[in-house]
Amino acid sequence: MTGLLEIRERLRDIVGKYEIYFIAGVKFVLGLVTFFLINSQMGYMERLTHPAVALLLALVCTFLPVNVMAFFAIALVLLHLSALSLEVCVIGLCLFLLLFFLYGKFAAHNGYLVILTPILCFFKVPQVMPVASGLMREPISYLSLVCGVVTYYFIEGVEQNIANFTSVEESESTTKFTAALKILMGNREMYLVSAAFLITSLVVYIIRRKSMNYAWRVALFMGNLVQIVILLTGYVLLGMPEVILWVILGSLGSVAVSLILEFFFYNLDYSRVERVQFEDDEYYYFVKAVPKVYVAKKDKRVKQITPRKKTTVNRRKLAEELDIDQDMLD
Amino acid sequence: MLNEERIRLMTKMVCYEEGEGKEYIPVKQYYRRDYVGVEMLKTFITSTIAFGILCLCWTLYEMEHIADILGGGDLLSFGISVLVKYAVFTVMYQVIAFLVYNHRYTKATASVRKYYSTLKKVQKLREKEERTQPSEGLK
Repeated sequence: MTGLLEIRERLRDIVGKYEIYFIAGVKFVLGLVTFFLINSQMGYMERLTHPAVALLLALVCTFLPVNVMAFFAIALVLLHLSALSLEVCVIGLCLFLLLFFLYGKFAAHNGYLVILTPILCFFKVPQVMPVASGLMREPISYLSLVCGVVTYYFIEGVEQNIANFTSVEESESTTKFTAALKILMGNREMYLVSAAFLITSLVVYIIRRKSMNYAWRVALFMGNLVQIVILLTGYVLLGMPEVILWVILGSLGSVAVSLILEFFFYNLDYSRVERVQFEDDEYYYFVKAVPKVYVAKKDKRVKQITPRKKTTVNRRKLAEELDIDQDMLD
Repeated sequence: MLNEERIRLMTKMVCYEEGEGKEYIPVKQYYRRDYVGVEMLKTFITSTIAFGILCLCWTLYEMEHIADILGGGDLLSFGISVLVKYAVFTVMYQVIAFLVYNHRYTKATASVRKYYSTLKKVQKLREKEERTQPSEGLK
């Protein structure tokens, strides 16, 4: 354990020292994954599927706030949709405007959550997000998970119903609008996942705020348990048993990620809890102080006390020093 | 001569201004009532646009039955029901906006308090320096 704590301190030091490069690197990788995924999953506009486009966009996003990345990702999605069908593009635009006006205005600083949720949905392990955000964020951020989920299911729905949008007959315009809206309105899996994520993050938030020992540990296990129960019940009711394996795998991943987060951000030593009680004119105070686990990193220094002796001497230098000919040293 | 204490405090202030302060200092430039009022007005506009988009989506979704809905029933009662929905939607968003921005102003107040106390310390140090500088010049 002490070794792990030392590694943690060292990692914190390194990240703190190279914070600018670290954040830029994270943004670049995230941007690259996001734009490559959009191009590979959608790819309706062939000109945009060139790797250089994703690379260039990721490079630009490296130096800009993460919300700009979300904006570029939305623009890329809409461009691909416009190549598929104007109707579905209009519905996509309406959806993103609604998400922005109804929610984005209140919680503008959740770019990472909005981007990471659909990415993890693509990799079939989005269960990591609600518990992690429940541990690290405030309740107002949790709706950004829903935004991510809705975006993912919209993109996936367009992909699955592509035949509805490729028809060229003008009379079918209304049908295309209806089909695009049905992706959102009739997607019961989307409602299930959104509700499960919201409930899970709130459960985690409520428990982790409790003044009890190991609050984060209890919160993360309870959160994962609640999530797995809701999702499994939901999928069984929806008649989708093939997803159950992914739910279990995702939940295991979620436990692992949550434990890592707990180790880095909430590592307390409950064996040294101090309780104090005092009063002022208006209140009595019952304070419980829990110290953080901290291990000073090993600072190895080799101090040279005696001057280093020269063990090897150059032949030529020795000859020069002794003022003799080099051949005499043979 | 450089005043190390003042430089240390000023560095601390710049760090705050570039980080957390970026969000909270502009908030504290208004009185609570003005800040919450302006944000509620902005929310009113965005919620109206959002309601318009929702109406548009509903119209597109029900395009095939729209003639039956409008032609079959009473237009006035239909209009009233839309207005009632709009009023409920807007009021709901106004309440959310009030709660969110009120909370944000409270958070900003707590966050900026330390910044202002540092600012006062810097001002005092500066005044002290200005008082001592002319006397040093006479020597």
